[in-house]
Amino acid sequence: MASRIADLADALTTNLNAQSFEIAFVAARSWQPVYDLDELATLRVSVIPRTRTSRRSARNQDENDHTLNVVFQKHATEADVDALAELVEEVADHLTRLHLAIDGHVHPSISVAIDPVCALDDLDEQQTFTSVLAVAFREWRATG
Amino acid sequence: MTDLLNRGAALLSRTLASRNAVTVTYTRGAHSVTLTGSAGSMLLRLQDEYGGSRVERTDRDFLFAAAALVLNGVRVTPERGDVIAESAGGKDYTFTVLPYSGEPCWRWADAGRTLIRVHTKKTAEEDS
Repeated sequence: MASRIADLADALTTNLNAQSFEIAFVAARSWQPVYDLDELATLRVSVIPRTRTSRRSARNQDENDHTLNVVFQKHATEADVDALAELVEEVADHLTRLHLAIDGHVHPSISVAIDPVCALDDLDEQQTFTSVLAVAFREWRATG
Repeated sequence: MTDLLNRGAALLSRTLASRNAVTVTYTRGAHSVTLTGSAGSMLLRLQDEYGGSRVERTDRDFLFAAAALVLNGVRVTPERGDVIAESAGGKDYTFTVLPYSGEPCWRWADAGRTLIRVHTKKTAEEDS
């Protein structure tokens, strides 16, 4: 059985790449993306599996909440931040209503958080815009 | 003693051009100047990024005579965002002047304020 959170990350990546956002990008799924500072001349969007929280929701059913990070990174000065932050918000709005289907099961997005909107130390020391969007998808799994 | 130290710094400033020297182009906006100085080692750093990603970067310090940093006829000090271009080993490197670990992006390298040490990060690399 494949990792569900990995499957969700793949599905999210595919979904993001099928959309048309104000600033175009190509999302890539990775457990730990590593970029050279040079490579951030291009906007990099990484989908990273992060956490899973599980609980029993009924006698024969468990709930698993899978959290994925969508990390935005690009060389930028302060003048560029407004437009990039707007892009992150645009993606967040899209994710808030998103349902991902895997193996016939629907996984709704249950929470979306942007933290940080713009990492200030990265902007100061690397002239890089870094923003992290965390989205959680819920999975219901029958047990017994 | 102070005079001895200042004379030593002045000697170092004069010999920078002939010992372990690099020649670079220092640019701010539309203005550039060619400088000769010395450069520190390229240090590869791996930084744990937010959200699980990592960024590799190359830090490099440059040391040159303060009097040589003249842009558009005006003697200046480094500013964040200035660009230093260096060619070496068949590669063209671009370094951007940026602060390092909470420090300012440049500092005086001697008490007499004749030498400048500027912190940079490599932001581009191309084949020459």
